[in-house]
This record gives sequence, C-alpha cells and structure tokens, in this order.
Amino acid sequence: MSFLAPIGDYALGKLRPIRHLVAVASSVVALAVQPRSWPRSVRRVLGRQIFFTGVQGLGFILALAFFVGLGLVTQAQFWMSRLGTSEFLGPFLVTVIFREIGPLLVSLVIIGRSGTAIATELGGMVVRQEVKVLDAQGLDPMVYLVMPRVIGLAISVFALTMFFALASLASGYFFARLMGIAPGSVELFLSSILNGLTPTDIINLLAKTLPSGLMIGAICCMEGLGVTYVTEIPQSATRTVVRANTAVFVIYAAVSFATYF
Amino acid sequence: MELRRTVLEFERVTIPASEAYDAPMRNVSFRLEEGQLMLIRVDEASDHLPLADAAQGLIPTPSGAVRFLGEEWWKMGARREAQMRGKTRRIFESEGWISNLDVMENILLSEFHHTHRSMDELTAEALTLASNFGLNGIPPGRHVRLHAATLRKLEWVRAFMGRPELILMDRAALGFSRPDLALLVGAVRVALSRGAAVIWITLEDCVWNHPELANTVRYAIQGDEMIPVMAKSADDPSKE
Repeated sequence: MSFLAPIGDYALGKLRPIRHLVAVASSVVALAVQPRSWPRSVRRVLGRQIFFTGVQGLGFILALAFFVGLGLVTQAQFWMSRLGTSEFLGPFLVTVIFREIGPLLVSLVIIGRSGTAIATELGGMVVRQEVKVLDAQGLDPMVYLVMPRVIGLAISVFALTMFFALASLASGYFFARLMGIAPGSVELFLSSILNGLTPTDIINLLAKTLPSGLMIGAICCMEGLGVTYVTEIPQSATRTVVRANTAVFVIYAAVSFATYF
Repeated sequence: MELRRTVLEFERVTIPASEAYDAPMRNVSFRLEEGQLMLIRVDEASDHLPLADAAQGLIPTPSGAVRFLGEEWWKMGARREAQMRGKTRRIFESEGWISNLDVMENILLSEFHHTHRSMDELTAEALTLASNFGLNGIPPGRHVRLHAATLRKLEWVRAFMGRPELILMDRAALGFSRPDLALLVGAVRVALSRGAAVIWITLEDCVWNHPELANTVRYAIQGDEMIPVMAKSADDPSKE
C-alpha cells in the first residue's frame, strides 16, 4: 500500500491552498458579521476599497457594457424580431446579461484591475515590514487589511454587475432604436425585461457575484500577504490572476449547474 | 510604600538568533513598572534585537513568558492581543510608516482605531506634539518625500499620542543634536509622569549619559545576555 502514500500526499498538497482559501474566506465572513470588527479605521479602508474598485472602475465597466449592448442586445433584438420571437427577448437578455455575461465580465475586469493591485500592494507592505508596523499598533492585519478589501470587492462585483447589466441593456436598446430595429417602445422593452426577471435570476446573480467577489478578494490578499521577497511580487500578481480566474469559473459553473439542473 | 503596577514582565525569555534578528536573547528576566524608564545599551553590532517585538508579543518565545499588564501575550486571543497592543507605542529602529496612508493618517492611526476620540481632538494633539518637537506642523501627503530627520521626529509624535501604557523606543535619538534630544527626553518624562513605562534601546552616549535619564533601570546587551548596569547618579561627574 505504500505506493498510495505519495499519491495521497500529492492530492492533499494540491488541496491545501483550496482549504486555506476557504478558511480565509470563511474567517472574513465570520469577522464581518461582528459589529466590533468594524471600527472607524476599518470602515475607512472598506470605503476606499469600494471607491477604488467600484467607483473608479465604473467608467471602464460602463464602456464595456456599451459595447456588449451594442453587439449582443442589438443583435438579439434584430434576430428575435426577424424570427417573430420578440416575446422571448426579455427572458433571453436577462439570462444572458444578468446571469452569465454580466457577472463573468465584471469579475474578470475586477481581477485584472483591482485584484492584481491588491496583491502587489499587500506584497509590497509585507516586504517593507508595514504589516508588522500595523500589527505593532494593534491593528490585526486580518481585520484591517484583509476583511475590508474582501468585503469591498464582493460589494463592488455585485454593484458593478448591476450597472453593467443596466448599461448594456440601455445601450443595446438605444442603438437598436437608432438603427430602426428595436422591436417596440422603451416601455415595452423594459416590461419585457422586468417580466423576464425571476427570483431565480436574482438568486443566481447574488450567488455568482458575492461568492466570486469574496474568493477574488481572499485570493488577492493571500497571494499578497504570502510574499517574502520583493522579487516574488510580480509572481504573486500572476498567480492571483490565474487562481482568481479559476475560482470564478468554478463558482460560475457550479451556480449555473445548480440553476439549470 | 506606594505599590506600582507592573506594565511589562519578561520571565526567563530565550529567543534564538534568526534571519530576522542578529542578536539572540538568553534567559532574560526583568520587570518594568508604571512610570519607570529602562535604558538598554546596545552596540552597533546588535542591529536587530528581538526585545521590542517580544515585548509587544509579535514573536513567539520558545521558552519563558512575556506578560503585558499581567497577561501573557501567547495566552491572549487575536482580538485581545490587538487591543493590548493598542496600549503600546513604538519608535522602530528603522522607519515604521504605512506607505498608502498620509503622514497624518499614520500618526493618528492607532488612536483612530482603538479610541472614539474625535478627529479634531486627535489632530490638535498631533499638532501640539509636533510643535513641542520643533516641527512646523504635520507635512501633508505621504512620507516618502520627507527628510529622514523630519520623519524620525514625526515618529516621536506618533509614539507620544494618547495615553500609552508602554512606549518602546529603538535608537530613537540617533543622529539628533542635544537640543532635539532634550525635547525627546522632556516628552519621555511627561509620559513617565502619566504612568507609562518606557524602554529606550540606545547606542548613543548622549542618551546613556543624559543627566535627566540618570537613576533609571539600565541594562547592557552583551552577546546574548542582558546585563544589569548600575544606575548613574545624576550628580556623577563622570556621566558626560
């Protein structure tokens, strides 16, 4: 049986980072629900994280939404009106924008834009001994550095997905209108979307954006705080992108599977 | 006789040398009470001492115990540890600044985190301390463009903010003139009179022989041992 031991060791070794990631993410949630974990200094870090990720990232997300709306929503309106299936426009766009493309694109943008920034920022802090300086002042790095960043990312992913969805639908409709291929009035379009929106879509959206935001945040913080030498910082940024993308795709696949089957 | 509270106690603490610390500590025991100053003389070879980190419970002690206000660091939970460290202040041997915060935010951070004092009150205290140390206010922006001496004085400001129980000063006056040293010594004496305990790690003669720091608890680091040194009398003519 000894030949099984290395296989077991290998498998456990591969699972260790996942276990660590889940432990960090669950610790963050456990801390975040306690009001005493939110002194004003931590609330300020949360505010800044939401500003950097959510507010400063909004412009790019809206631009992305504009182009997605231009292509996808306009095409959907065009083909559905040609096929005489305009009544499915709402459910189709809700499924594609709210459930699938919106959360996924927003998560990928946030990984590239804020995730790598967090990993390199925290890596730099470790190398410059700033984490120790915080610790020496009684600011627990888990509470002051990790928790507000993770929660800030989760809130930002959700909020930006909402903005993305609304902006892409709006741009798609107005572009179709400009081209004269819109299936009806704006009221008709809106009611079609609202009628297509079901509680499952809301649950799906929450289940995709909040956990993926948590995981992206936890991975960025783990990778950043795991740095020992300055030369490891670029590697940590690269690992952040790979691992966070993988986590996002796994979460999305799992939620989609749970939704459709 | 007045009973004074023990602020910090080292009991047979041994910390081996490591990558992080040049000088190990072996079997170190001492007790520091409120209002007491401990001067620790080091030589230039003892670059990184584990003493301040151990005093703040930032590193494990393989043997022995470090107690702060009667509680052993390694028996506290994470939240309690953080809370207790909030009662300490430190001037690091090298710069201790958070680079993504402004200088003022850095200075106020511990009080801002651990207390409910208003920002106006905190800012006013920081400005008063800065003025006491001969600074013309707190410079705006990040710390990176500031002169090393200004930054060091700003660290002094941070160290004396609020009502700390323990102040750890690691080579805090290195490179400063006697007038500046007098300002720092004055601040230390005020903190002591308020009941803080102070550990001042120094390699400068001007600190070790300072007349206002006579009659303090004194140790010298020799190898891996902390040797008690007889306190100098304030009227000792050989002190300078």
